[in-house]
Amino acid sequence: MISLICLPIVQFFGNYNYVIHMVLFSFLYITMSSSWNIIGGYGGFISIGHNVFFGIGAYFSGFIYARYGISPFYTAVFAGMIATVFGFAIGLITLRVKGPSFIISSIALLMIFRTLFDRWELVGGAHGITLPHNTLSVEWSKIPHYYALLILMVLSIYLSWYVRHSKFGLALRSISHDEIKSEVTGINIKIIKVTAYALSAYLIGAAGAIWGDYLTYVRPNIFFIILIAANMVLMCILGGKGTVTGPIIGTIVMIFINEFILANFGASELNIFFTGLLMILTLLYFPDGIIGSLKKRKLLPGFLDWG
Amino acid sequence: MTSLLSIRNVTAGYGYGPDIVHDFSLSLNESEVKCIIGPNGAGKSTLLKAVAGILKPRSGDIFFEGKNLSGKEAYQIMRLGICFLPQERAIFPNLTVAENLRMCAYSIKDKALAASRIKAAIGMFPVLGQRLKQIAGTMSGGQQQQLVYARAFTIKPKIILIDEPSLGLAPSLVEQTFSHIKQIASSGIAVLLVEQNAIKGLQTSGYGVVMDLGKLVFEKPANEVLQDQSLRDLYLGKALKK
Amino acid sequence: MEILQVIILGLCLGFVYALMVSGLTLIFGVMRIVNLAHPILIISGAFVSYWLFILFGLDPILSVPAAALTVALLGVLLYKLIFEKNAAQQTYSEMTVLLTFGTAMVIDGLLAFLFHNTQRTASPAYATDAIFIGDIFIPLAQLYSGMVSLGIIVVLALFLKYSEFGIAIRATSQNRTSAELVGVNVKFVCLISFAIGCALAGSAGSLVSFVFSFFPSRHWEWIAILMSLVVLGGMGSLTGAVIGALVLSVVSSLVGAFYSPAWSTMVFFLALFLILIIRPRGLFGIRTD
Ligand SMILES: Nc1ncnc2c1ncn2[C@@H]1O[C@H](COP(=O)(O)OP(=O)(O)O)[C@@H](O)[C@H]1O
Ligand SMILES: [Mg+2]
Repeated sequence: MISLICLPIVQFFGNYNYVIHMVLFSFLYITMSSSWNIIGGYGGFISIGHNVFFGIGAYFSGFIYARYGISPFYTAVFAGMIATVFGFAIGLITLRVKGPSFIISSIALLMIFRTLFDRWELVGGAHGITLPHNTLSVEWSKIPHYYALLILMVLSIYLSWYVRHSKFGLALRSISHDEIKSEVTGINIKIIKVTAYALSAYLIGAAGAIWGDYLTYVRPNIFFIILIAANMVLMCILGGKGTVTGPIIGTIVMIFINEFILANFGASELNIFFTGLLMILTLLYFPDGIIGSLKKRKLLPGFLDWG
Repeated sequence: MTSLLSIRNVTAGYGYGPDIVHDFSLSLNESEVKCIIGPNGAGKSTLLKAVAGILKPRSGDIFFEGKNLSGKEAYQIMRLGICFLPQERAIFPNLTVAENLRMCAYSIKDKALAASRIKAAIGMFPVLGQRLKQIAGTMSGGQQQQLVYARAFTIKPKIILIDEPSLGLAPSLVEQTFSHIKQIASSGIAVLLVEQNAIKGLQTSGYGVVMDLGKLVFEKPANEVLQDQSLRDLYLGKALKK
Repeated sequence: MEILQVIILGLCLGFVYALMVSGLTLIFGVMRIVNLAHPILIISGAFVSYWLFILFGLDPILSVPAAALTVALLGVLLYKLIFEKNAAQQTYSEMTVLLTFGTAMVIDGLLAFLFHNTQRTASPAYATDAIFIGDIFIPLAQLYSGMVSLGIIVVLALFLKYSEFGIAIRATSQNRTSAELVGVNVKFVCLISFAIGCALAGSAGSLVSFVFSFFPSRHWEWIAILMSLVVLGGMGSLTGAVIGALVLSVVSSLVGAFYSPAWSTMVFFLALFLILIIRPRGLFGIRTD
């Protein structure tokens, strides 16, 4: 942890932008996969359109930045809230179905948002919004994002841990096992499901705001693509969905694999190929993920066993 | 003499759950009718499923005409000549009666033979002939029951396994169903019957087999079971005190 | 008059959509697999016909069998490698959906790597032609593709309705165990149904190759479009899927013509979303959850 806080010091000794970029990229995806894990892992609702909240957050803060000049670093908190409100409203509608229907509805949701933002001229249509660069020099320009995402990551892990060990989380997991039985035991299923969904949207929305500023543009074909959601899902499954440390480990492993592929094969088309392949192999031979499998075999070292 | 069907020390259960049937052995000769009775949850259905190949036994063997059935798929076992009518009504409710009959004869490779068998079955159950185009699920209970038993006459198996044929049926339908079963038995097909209605079941059968907690308690000629007062009190309980 | 023209065009495309989803419903009906890889299989078929056209000048309609066969073989391969274990259990599972999702990504990545995400259309001579009936004009590409689709769907329907194997397929979709108990080799039925479903995807691809412009990653959009059609018709019901396809295609054409082409695909997405929420069973058939 301390080393992560101190890591940017390397910039005093030269330009390690690549390292900084990779680490903050990991922060971003750990935030997203840990958040996804709340509804997808604990709750068992597999959403492959969860990046709508990422896009909503990015657009909200990006729009305000472009129009009123207020930096996303201030508005990220509100971007998360907007995402949560959307999460609540959408959750009320989509969480009425489960299983394959839910998965399909999550894809439909993503396509609806993609189409809307592609056509919405106020926010630039398909070209999106272009944001000003920050005024820091090249070595330091990434540092604000680095710390912002670090904070979000810590919050997301804490949230995931908290949910895992709370009564709320217990109810959530019992719903994922058997909705009808949970209903009998007097849990208010609807509230629990929708809250979990909205909760998982919060940090994803905030992360979207920061990420928009980092990229300096917010565009439908960057934020509303299914690959982002696919990554969240895969990172969780690879690490072990429904565990606290699973998404963290899964994300780190995936980002390493991605980098390896990019370095060796270059083409980004192959990236999607390998992502899919990894997903298939994980599901077929490794459905409990890294943490889940280790736990089952009682090989999980204590420092990784957070529940 | 080896018997037609011989169940040897079969143990079976579901998934990772406990053993439901323990070390169970039973045999059935040609044209023989045996009725398995026992309390709910004794494992009777589970046993039949194991014989039919829907559930793989955990240990033990099942021999049919001297052939070991282990490792065979349910459809292969069926094609060898073991027909299983499970507890749930074994028809395809969304197919028409004609299509249901064609499915009954699906395992008969000689299509001319299949057609003549279907015709014969319709001859025995004329109602079905009148309703060939009707969706099976929309027929009355009695008509659906006829469709179920038409299968036995279409495929002419060597053994038929019937699970709780009278369960949930109106009294008049129970009579009808048992007359179908007697008809099957008298055509020389061996029958292994599981029945809650013990009196009816035993009256139809040569032997009574009592099963409890997954184990064989005893096997005796059916009339002895019916007459022996102490057996009746001990094992048949409420079922016989009508 | 204009409205009639739009409706006729919508119907032509509707039959192509119906063919695109027929395989999807078949596979769902028999194995309860929601095959998210179906659209990319259609695009694979489109590539087969496209290259046969570019390289040998073969008319895409004539290459329907080639595309169907190629994609069916690909399907058998996928089935053996990935789905066999889960398919025969006939239970809905998130895991299988994610497996198809992964499969879609794999094929997408492969096609994009080989052929890049550039828009393509095969352009046989009739592609730019049209016939006039009164003052209604119908582009031949749409007309032919609609008719061929209708033909294939009719053949499929007859096969399912009257052939022994077709009835066995329907029996298996209703109840796997009951089918086994009358002697149906359910695993074989699953394999063949999967192959037929993929063949249908491939043949749809041939038609897509000259009716739409296609590129590998377009299948994400089509996933939602195709799902909306099957969901409207009730998953697993062929009749339902055909009706769903015709209805939505016409509505989408009307929106495109009288409101704005940019919003015509939105019809599908919104329909999908609303139907899933309001009536998870679809308007006709089997439950999806
Ligand atoms: N599909 C199944 N999965 C798990 N357990 C089952 C299943 N079917 C039956 N059982 C269990 O097996 C036991 C015996 O059931 P069964 O063979 O149906 O008894 P019987 O037919 O004698 O009433 C019961 O305790 C029941 O709970
Ligand atoms: Mg029973």
